[in-house]
Amino acid sequence: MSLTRREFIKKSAALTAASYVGLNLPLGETERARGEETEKWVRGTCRLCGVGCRLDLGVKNGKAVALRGVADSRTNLGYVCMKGMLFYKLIGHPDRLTKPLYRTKKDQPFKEISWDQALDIAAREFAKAVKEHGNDSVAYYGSGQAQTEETYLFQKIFRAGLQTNNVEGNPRLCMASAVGGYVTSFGADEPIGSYSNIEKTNCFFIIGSNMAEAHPVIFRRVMRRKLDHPKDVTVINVDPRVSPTSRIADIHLQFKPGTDLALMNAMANVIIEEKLFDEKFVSDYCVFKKQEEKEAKTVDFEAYKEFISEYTPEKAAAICGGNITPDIIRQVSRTFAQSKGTVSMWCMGLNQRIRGVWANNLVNNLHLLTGQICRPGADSLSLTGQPNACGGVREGGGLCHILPGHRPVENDKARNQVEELWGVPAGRIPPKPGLHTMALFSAVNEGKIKAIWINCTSPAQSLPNVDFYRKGMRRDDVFLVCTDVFPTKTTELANLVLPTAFHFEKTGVYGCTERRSQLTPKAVDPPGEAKPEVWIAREWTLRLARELKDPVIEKCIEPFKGLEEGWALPKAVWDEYTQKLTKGRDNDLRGATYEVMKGMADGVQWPAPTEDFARKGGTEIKFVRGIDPMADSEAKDDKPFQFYGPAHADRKLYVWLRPHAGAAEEPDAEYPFVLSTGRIIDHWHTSSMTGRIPELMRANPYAFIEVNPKDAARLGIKPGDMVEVESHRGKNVLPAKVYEGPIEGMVFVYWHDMDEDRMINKVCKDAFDPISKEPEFKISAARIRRVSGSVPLKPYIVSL
Amino acid sequence: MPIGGLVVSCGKGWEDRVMPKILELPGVEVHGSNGKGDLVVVVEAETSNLLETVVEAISRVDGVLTVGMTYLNFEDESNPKRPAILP
Ligand code: SF4
Repeated sequence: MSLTRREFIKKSAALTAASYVGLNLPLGETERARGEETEKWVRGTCRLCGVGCRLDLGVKNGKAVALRGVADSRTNLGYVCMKGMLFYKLIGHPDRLTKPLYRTKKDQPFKEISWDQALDIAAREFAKAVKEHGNDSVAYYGSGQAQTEETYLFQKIFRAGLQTNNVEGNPRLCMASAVGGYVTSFGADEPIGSYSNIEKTNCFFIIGSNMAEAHPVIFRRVMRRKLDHPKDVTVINVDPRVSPTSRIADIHLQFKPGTDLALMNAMANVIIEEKLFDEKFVSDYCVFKKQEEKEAKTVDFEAYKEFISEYTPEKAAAICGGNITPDIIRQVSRTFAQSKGTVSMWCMGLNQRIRGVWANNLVNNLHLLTGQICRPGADSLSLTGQPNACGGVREGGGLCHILPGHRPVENDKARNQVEELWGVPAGRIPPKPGLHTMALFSAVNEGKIKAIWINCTSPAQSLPNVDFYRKGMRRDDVFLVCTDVFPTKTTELANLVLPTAFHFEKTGVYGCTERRSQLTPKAVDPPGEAKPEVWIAREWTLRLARELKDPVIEKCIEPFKGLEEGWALPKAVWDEYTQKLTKGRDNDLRGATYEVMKGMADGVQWPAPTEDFARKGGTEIKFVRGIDPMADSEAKDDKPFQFYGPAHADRKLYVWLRPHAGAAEEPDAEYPFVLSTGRIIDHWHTSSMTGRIPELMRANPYAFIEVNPKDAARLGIKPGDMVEVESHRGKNVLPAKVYEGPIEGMVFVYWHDMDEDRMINKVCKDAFDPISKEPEFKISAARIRRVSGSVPLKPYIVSL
Repeated sequence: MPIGGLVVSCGKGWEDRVMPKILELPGVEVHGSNGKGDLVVVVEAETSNLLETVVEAISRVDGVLTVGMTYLNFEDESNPKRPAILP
């Protein structure tokens, strides 16, 4: 790069940064333009977490050469974290999968084959499984990182083509409890409000989320709000571990893991006792519900009051331990209720729990009792882990019990409607929901699943108690197809590996935490023979229809035949999904066409039934008349809020009577520690991507175990010592980080490392929430011991 | 040579203490401040690896609360050929 060009680029960098903070630098636009000459900017979404940051990818000679945040984007206001800034390194990375690979047996080496051969093999194996073992012997396991078009198309083919609801995805492991919480509390999935509440709130209640590392750009907004209004904004952080999120908190509640249900019930008790609740909101919109044996029963306020009175601050403080006192419970309850606006934010700390749905209900309860929803600065906001868990999987029909547009599978009317919209015979989609993730991989273990398609995810690393489930995936009578960009622990167990196009190498939509769908168009060509998943699914289906001699299978991809894969194909899939399947549903996205999204800095929040409405960004706050068009079109009375969500026919919000419940596995004499797991800022999930970015790998080359100094002193563990952590299921050996992070009696390990000695999901337990079926990754009983002093370690990434 | 544009946020009134420390780091220029604790910073480094080291060092400077990336040009590195695993 020449000196002059470098100077121009530096000025460009300064101007871009300055524009985000309202600063006018004495540098002209023409200079910026010259610095950027010869570049084309393609606007899309970051690939590496659920925040949905928008960025422009600079392209020169067909290669990605620059990135910048999009200042006008309502998701990130222009900011991007370091992980997001470095994701371009995965485009054209030398480790990318570029050719279809096949082997008949899983202990054989892979052979490169052509796409024709690969698609024929996949069609033949799935057809064979169906013919010999029935429709439910096949399954699709997808991802909250697949684009909506991909999830939608695959689930259509499996449900209407192969006639099985064995359609699942990794959001079962992270978001299912939030879905369960929203649906049972508000009658509708996904948050009511938007990120924009961050700049309007006076109280943040951050529970079970280390957002500073897992959602860094949202954390930046929270921090900015606090810094700009230090006296008027209170940050409450509730977490058994001191995390980087805790450092901006005014109050950090640190407690014994698994006791927060008691804490939230005690907060509700204080709110009732001290009459801090919003009587009018509660009487206008809420009912109280108690789960009986088979069904939920409505009870009155007095019954709720009596139930909750058991949870005195004194009792909760005794259950919670740590620094929780009755006074601090009263203080946070008052702040929560009396703040002009309170925003709760949570993530896996509540979701990955044996009672994850209950935990979600209890946060939602606090908002319902205090009327802290449906107004600026107030919301119960579940943070999404993956970039398209909401848009693709929750909305697009990517779980075994839901069809596109939030339609339950077992609902005859909803199912028949979908069959009609797809033009397939009535009764084609089976009425029984498929197997949820943990049941699906148990069925793989038992040899009941004969062919499984795993797309864009690595269950051979991400499932809890993973060694147990890898046994099934290793079976030679289970045909396993993987579509992915890099080798993973799961491609290691596959028969057929199909190379896919990466983000910005194909076109598609991601829907982030705040109900916003955002388009990422193709900017560069994929490497080698890698192909977009929508192309792969279409071509496979054509062959599958021939193998099974079933014209209905071909009918599933009829509208997409022959379309060019870079734009026309995904656009046709998106159009069918939005124009037909979301029409009149609460996630109505008919206004969010590719044409509309292409012209926007960010994207569209549903409901957005028309293009004109979508162009302005869609619905910022659901259920509010004058803001949400469906609150007007679906209104049944004159009240300002209309809770038309599909799950509550009575249009009420439910305050649930949920008792405190601990973990499925509590520490005991043999396994006296609580093991918890989580994320670190530099890595993403199974690190098959971030582990290949040298800057990120250098920052955190391998997992370590965080040990509280008191526990470390007791067990003779020094910083850097190798420590064995063992549970009923398996063990890891990791270097120790001794610091005041986890509360005494708790250890913490981040879960990204794929080295067999440091893969913590071998140790985590697989018990799951009976409602959401989400496993309790966050709490396992374990024991630890010092194995040796520090030893040199090597980072590890799977290669072919 | 990768070039990054950053907004470095410190508390209001901390700019004078933070700025000299940041300027000691290699390849760092401060282009201005908005008076609310946000500094406009440009970093230039030999490789994106080194750039990340400098950004990391900025984030550790006493008084710095967050470092927000807004721009990155990496055209000299757009053909990645390095090994995946660092020694
Ligand atoms: S916060 Fe998440 S979406 Fe935003 S840049 Fe970072 S990784 Fe990407």
